[in-house]
Amino acid sequence: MESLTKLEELVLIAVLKLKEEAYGTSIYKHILGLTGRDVTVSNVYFPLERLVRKGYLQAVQGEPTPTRGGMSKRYYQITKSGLAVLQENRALNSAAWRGVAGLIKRVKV
Amino acid sequence: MHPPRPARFLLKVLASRRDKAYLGDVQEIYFGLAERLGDGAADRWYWREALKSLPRFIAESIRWSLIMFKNYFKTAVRHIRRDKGYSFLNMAGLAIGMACFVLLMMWVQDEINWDLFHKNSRLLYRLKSNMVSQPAPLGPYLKTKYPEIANTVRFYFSEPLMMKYEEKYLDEDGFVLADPSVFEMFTITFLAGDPATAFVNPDSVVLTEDAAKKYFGNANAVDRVLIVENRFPVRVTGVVKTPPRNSDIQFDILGEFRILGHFKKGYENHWGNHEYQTYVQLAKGATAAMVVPKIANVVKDHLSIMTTPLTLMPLSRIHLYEDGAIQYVAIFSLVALFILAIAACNFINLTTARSGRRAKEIAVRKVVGAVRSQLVKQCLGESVLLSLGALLIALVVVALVFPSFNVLTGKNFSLGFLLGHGLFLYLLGTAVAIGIISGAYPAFLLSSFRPAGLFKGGRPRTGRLSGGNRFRKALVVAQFAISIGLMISTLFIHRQLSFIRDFDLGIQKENVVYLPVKEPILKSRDSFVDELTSRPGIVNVSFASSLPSYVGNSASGAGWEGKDPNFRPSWPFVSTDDRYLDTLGIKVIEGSNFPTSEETIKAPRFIVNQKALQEMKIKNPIGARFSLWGVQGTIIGVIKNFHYRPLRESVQPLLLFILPEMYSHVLVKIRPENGNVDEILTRIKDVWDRFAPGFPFSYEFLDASYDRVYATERRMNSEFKYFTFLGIFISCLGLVGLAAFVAEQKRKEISIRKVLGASLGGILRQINKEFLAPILLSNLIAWPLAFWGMKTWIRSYSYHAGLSPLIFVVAALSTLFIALVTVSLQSLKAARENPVDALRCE
Repeated sequence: MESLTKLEELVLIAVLKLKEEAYGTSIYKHILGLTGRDVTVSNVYFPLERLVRKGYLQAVQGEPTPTRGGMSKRYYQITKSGLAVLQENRALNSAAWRGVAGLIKRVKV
Repeated sequence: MHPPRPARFLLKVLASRRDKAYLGDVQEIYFGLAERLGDGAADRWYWREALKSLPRFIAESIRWSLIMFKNYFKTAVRHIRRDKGYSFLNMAGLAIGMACFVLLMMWVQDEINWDLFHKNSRLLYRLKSNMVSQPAPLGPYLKTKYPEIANTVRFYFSEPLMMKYEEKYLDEDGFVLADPSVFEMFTITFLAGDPATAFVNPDSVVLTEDAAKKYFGNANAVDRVLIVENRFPVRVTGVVKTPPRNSDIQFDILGEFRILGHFKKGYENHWGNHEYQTYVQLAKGATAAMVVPKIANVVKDHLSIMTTPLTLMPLSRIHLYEDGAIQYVAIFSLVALFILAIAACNFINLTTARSGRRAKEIAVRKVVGAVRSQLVKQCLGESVLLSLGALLIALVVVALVFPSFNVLTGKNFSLGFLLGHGLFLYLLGTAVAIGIISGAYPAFLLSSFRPAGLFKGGRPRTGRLSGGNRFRKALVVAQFAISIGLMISTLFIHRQLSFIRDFDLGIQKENVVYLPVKEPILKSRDSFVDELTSRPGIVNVSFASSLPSYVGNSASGAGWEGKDPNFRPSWPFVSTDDRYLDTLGIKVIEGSNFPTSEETIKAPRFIVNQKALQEMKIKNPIGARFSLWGVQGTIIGVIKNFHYRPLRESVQPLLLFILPEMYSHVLVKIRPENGNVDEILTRIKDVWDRFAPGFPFSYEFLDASYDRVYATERRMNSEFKYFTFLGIFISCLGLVGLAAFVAEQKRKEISIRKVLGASLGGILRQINKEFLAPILLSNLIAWPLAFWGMKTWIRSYSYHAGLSPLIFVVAALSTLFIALVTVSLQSLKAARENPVDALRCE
């Protein structure tokens, strides 16, 4: 199984959730909403490109709008293998987190 | 309302090339923020985005350029390998050009750094009046009298002397005397002994390491004793490093100045005898301009006659300006640049010519998204790569030809020299510059093509191509113009040299052998002469104070009846005997030769040359009273002018008289029959050994001494020959490449012509015609330039060969011939091809 970085995972989930509306700005806003201030747009773009290269995402050229300075949007759609890798990651995550909640409460450091 | 400009610029530069969507998103978010939270917050956000992204973007772009570089490098190497012949031509031409440039620049570097290795070189000056030598008391006088002058040193460059160590006799022509201050003023490194004490005792000498080896082998030299001229001993007190070759202060043995007392009595107070090169070291803070007015008249005040005022010549300028090296430095720098220019033209030409072939590659690169700046970078990178490769080859070539180049130039270069002078970095810069300059044209030309056009025609639009052709032809014209110019110069220098060689100097210099005068021979000179002339094959023998090839000594203070009191002549002179004129075949015009030497010594007589007579402005010279150095005498004869200085100078006055103490050479006129020169020389040696036992016999031919006078010219001639040849060779390499290119471009045309019945000759003519015009044009450009250059050079000669038009014609015809042969060999290949091969591919 191909392992994803946390950011890649977040980005992939964001694309899935945003459905037809998944492009740079919306993904950035989504992740910003999740994590707080410490994200830049380029931070989102590098994992996006990597995911496209790996074949988990597929990019589609959108329409340019005036607020974008005439530059077109690039929409992202999740691919089959993207779904599969997300599935696997989810399984891995929940397996890894099983029983952790109780531990966190009990263990004293 | 706009994002902050600098930040926007930053992002654009870093990201735009790859990602428009990214920039669009940033813009969208910015405007959203500006609407909700105001411009300030939006600007802050924008800055944060830009700055925080910076490291990632930079890392990313480096990664990509490395990837692209790998790709460029790969394609470059593939191109070089695919067209081996072409790449070889291209690199070889540039490498040869660079090698020439390196060699010539080394030569120039060496000349302009002459004597600058002395630590005090900026403070050292040589005293100069109308001559470089000064009277002996001058140095010490200046040092005690003027606080601005920190130190002075006198040099006396002795005639060759005979040295004896144990039973071994050796001729020493590097015997130089100097004051002890020499070690403080000049940088002389001691290997043994101590500079502070080396010259404390009189009759002390220091030897160079080479001289020490010559005399004592590997044994310790210090404290050994040498006998000079069988007369007096000197003690070795030190061994020093041999002076670097690029110094005017050359010696094998450096002796303490007082040794001079063995040769000349009373020299310390003799202000009238200019024989000692004198250097001064100025005190810190003093300048030449301050000192010169104070010392200008020192010699005059002591001699109470008019002399040329003293000036100071900086050490750094002596070699370049006094010895006249600057002329050669200028000429050779120019030649170096020319050759490099030829090579660079070549490189540009061949690269451009080939670029058409790569049109498809460029088109594909453009289609898959290469932008222009990437293509430019790729082309430039490739040509820089090639030119660095050429530099590498050039350095290997330079290393290989070092020995021959040293023989050619009489210098002593090594690779260490190249690295030691920072010349290498300079070269690296030059190579990169050539790469960029020569890559620039094809880079911008090619990257400007439109892909569709490139695909369709297989090569760039015709308008562009013919433009490129014009440019290439201009380069060919420039190349050949330089080559032709060099060729004309070479032919002309050669002509001038043979003109000098065959010039009627007014004396018969052939078959004259000269020997040094040694004391026992001077004592019994009459019987020595009688003995020599009694032997078969020996015609005449004469003594003289200098060789007729170069009379350096001048006498001032000559006087005669009716002399203008303001006229202070300083005339070259030869002290000789009554057989001088016969030995050298000099014609007497008026009056007669000296009577016998004894008679002349009793009643002094003088002989002058025509030029002197002219300057004396007297009607009846014969019998006129004439005085020199307080000696009263009469003029007995006037001789025809003969040339006793290089032909650069016009004939000067000359004075002959008889003063045996000044004799330094014996001239022996021989008459060899059926080439038995060796026999005659053996006879001379027999007599020598009888009269000067214990003095080794050494001789030289007078002709050879003339060769030495013109050594620089001869050297320049041979250097020019090689570099001209190479220049033409490089130009031809370029022509080969270009002709091959044209032949290939016209492959189909040639085939069609052949099918339609054109003959081989006709096709050759047609291709040759294309190259004929540029080469004729280069001739037209080169002629006036070469004419002007040679006119300038020749001005330094009072006597010179005319600028024969034949030289120009020869240069034109030979370049034309070479060029046509080169082109024909290339086009012949194309012309002999079977038309089917060229035509069927469509």
